[in-house]
Amino acid sequence: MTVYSFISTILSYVFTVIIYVFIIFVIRLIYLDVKKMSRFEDNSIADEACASLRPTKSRTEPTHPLKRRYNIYGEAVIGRSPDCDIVINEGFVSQKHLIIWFEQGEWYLEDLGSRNGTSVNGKRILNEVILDPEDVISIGGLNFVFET
Amino acid sequence: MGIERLKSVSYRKPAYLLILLDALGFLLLFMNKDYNLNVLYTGAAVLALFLTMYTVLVLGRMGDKFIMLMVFMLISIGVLLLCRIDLSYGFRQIVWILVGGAVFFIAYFVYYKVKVWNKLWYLYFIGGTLLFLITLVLGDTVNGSRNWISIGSVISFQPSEITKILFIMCLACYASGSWSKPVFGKVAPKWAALIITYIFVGFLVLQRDWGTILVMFSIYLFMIYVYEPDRKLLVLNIIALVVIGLLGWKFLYHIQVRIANWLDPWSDISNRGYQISQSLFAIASGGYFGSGLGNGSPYYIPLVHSDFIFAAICEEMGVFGGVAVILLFFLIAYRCFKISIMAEDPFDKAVSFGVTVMFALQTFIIIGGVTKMIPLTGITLPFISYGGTSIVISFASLGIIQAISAKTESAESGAAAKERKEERDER
Amino acid sequence: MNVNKRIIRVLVVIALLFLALASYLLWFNMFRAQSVYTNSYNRRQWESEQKIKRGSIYSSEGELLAETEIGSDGSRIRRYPRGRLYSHVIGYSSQVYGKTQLEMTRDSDLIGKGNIGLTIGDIRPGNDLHLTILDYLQEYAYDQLDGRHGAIVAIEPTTGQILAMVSLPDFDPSSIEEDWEEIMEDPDSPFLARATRGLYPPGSTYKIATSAAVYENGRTTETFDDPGVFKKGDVEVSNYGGEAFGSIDIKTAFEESSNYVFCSLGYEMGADGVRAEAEKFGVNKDIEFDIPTSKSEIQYKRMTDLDAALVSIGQGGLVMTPLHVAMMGAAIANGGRMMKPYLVETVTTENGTVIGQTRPSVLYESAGAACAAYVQDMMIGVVEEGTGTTAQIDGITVAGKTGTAETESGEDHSWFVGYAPAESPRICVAVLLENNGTPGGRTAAPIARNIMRRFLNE
Repeated sequence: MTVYSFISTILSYVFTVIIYVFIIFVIRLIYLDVKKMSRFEDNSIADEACASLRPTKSRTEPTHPLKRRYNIYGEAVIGRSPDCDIVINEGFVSQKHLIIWFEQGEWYLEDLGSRNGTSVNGKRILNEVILDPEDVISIGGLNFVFET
Repeated sequence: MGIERLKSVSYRKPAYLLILLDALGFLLLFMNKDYNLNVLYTGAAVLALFLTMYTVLVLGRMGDKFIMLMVFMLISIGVLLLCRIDLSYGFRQIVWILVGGAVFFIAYFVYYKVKVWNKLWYLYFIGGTLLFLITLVLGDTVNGSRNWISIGSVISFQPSEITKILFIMCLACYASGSWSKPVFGKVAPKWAALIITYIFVGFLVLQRDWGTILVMFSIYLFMIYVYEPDRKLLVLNIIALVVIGLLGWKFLYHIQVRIANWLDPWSDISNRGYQISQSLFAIASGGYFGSGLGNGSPYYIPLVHSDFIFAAICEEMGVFGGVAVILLFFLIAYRCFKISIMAEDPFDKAVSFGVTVMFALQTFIIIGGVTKMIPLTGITLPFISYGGTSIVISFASLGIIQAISAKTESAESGAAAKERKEERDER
Repeated sequence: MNVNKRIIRVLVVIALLFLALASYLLWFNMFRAQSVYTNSYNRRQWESEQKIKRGSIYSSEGELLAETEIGSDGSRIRRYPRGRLYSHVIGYSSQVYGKTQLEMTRDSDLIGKGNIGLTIGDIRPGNDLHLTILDYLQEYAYDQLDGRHGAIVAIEPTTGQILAMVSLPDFDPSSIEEDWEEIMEDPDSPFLARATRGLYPPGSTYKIATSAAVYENGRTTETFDDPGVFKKGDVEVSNYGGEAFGSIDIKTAFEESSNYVFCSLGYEMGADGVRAEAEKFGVNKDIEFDIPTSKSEIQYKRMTDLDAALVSIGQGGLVMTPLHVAMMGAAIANGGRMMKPYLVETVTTENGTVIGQTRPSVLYESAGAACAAYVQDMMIGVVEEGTGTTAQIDGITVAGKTGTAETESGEDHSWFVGYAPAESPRICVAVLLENNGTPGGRTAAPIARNIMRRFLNE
């Protein structure tokens, strides 16, 4: 067995692993994506770990149209980066602005060190806070109503 | 809990894996091809193209983000194999993919912006017919099928690939109901669509392009299954298919040979059974993980760079590699079906449905053929087989799908904007 | 929406198509790939053999049975030092005509497929096979057959190891390319490995299985009035030589091989009962073995009770391979447990490291221990005072059963299956003499006796 065919044999296993891990990742992403859509299309599914943000009257006019509502499943990072679960493409929103997550019956919010900060019910938050339904979350000038 | 866990849900991870696969694969081939730098250029070109297209797609909000990832995984596997078989094929394929990428964006924007596609059924029909006529007059016979046109000595292409798309658009006009007026005041669209299908199939019979016949006719059947309320039409067409199939089997030598080779390729192994038996030898030699890139002998397989490339994948990347390719094609089909289901415009829905069925069937027919699961009919494997027409048309179809996906997504956020405006007006 | 529902149905259809594709590919790789790969038209196998030295094959004692020599010009010659002796066990390996038997089924071992490791130089050694066959016994059995068409299978009842396996006629595996045309045209079909691929009516040896059923139906104490011929409908079977035994119990009927008694028993058990018993002994089932085997079976589309009568004495639609008859005898010897037969004991690398070892395993629980003891008792009677007295060995208890199977097309087949010592069996031998025309007790039994004696004296 030459050095080349040895390396190539080893790599044949590596390639198989890479391709399958790739497929698993994609399936997982698709799964999350489908879950997002189907959960909220079908209201009969009651799940305490589902919530949503509804844009409401704001001081600032968004330059990009906002969706009617943004759904959160278990957890969501909100920010300008396309990697975020909820993307809000505005200059005053940081790449990764804040995170909302569900843990043992409670919803939490934490600012991820954003430049312009986050307020809940008009109060600028410093540490993580517990969210209640109908709380108003302000990101820059944009207001969202938290709904469960 | 926290940001770390979120990273695993990132879109970047699969992209990194793809980059890793390409990096390792092309470095390995670099060794295999006596350190020929062209291998590295080819690999770099694949990666550059992937990163560019994917970034534009994501940042430009051009619809579904998963399909392009998987398509580039298939493209990477294809180009790796082509480079391994013959460097010049790999190199030329990259050029085609570059053209394909451009065509993808053109198709995306043209489809997105033009709103009258659903009114133009007669143009699609005339275009398809013209392409057929040109092929019959000027066509060259390649591998038993007269379906190639050469312009000069450089460019040659298969018009039937373009016709497939025109055919789908034409059927979509009828399926979506936007073509409702009878033709010449007499022929209802459902009969006109039927006649068009049979005319196209008739042309393909003259060209002996059995694989395309199978794809087109199946698209038609699936289309009327989904859209035609008159069930009789479906039943009659299936009966017609069976009758024509049996007649073909009885009287057409070409079909007899194909069936005989499928049932028993071993008895005439040095002549008619040659292609399929060489393909099976390759698949059988790979085992689960394959011989490793560069360790096998794919050059024994005839047409290994185009129709039979799947056999080479199985030989060097193993049956697991082959199953992965099948899985990827299925996931792409799944995403496309989803786009079709989500689409709100009936014409968009029908077009994306037709294109998806085309991708899926083409994959099934050629992979089933080279593995001897079904009789072999020559057809290319989308995004993997070498060939300009195949690559460009596949990308064009993908562009249409992405455009439909993007339309749906922007319709959603558009509705949101409208609602906000109304809210403001109330205020 | 109706349209969406239908699109989802199309998606399901497409999903099933792709699932079928993936499953087919895996199935092909598991069950078809090996035989496809070893097709002689596949140039890959010779290409890969250019880079390796094909492994050797050794007998249980370490006698060299097959090896590859590489000439100075790189040409390969597969040598078989024992000539024709193993032609139906090891088979041949030819660039032109492909591979058969162990050369085919163990090809990936012999070419060392999957061995990962770097070697200096170009030629990588394959792996070696060590068989369970005793070379001296194989040679002895070959001589005992003395050119007569037929097969001998010797098996160790407690493990399923094959100790000797001979089929005649045979061929010379070293000169297969020169002799091909001649062998192919030979009406005696020397390429047929009779021990494993030949299907023969087992005749009275099958009464072993029938009497196991008798025991399980609790009919051991019955007596019959044997008029010498079993007559029912259009079936008429007479005892060997037409002898009428009169009043007879089952043990004597077994020892004297009364067809009347066993046909009657089979008829009363009926088609379902007889088939069920046959399947306990592995009839109608594929035997997984180191080399390809034919499936022993009852060849009726619909079996009637009259057919069952014929099957009970090993005639009618029942055909078995000599290997399977030996396994049936060995199952009784092993207290009713049929062991899975095997030929390859270990696979080693060139320098002797064991990388694969076959472990004995039970194939079927064919009969209970008490049932086996009952049948064994009658088989001892066959050798002591019945049709098989020619199988007696001084000082050793031998159990056995003779058979003389009628054929549609020619002379009778002579059969004997027996094992020794009956108290703790070490060897079971089945002998088939094809179209020999003599009763099994006269010709087949002495051959089996000689082989058992040779083995036990070693």
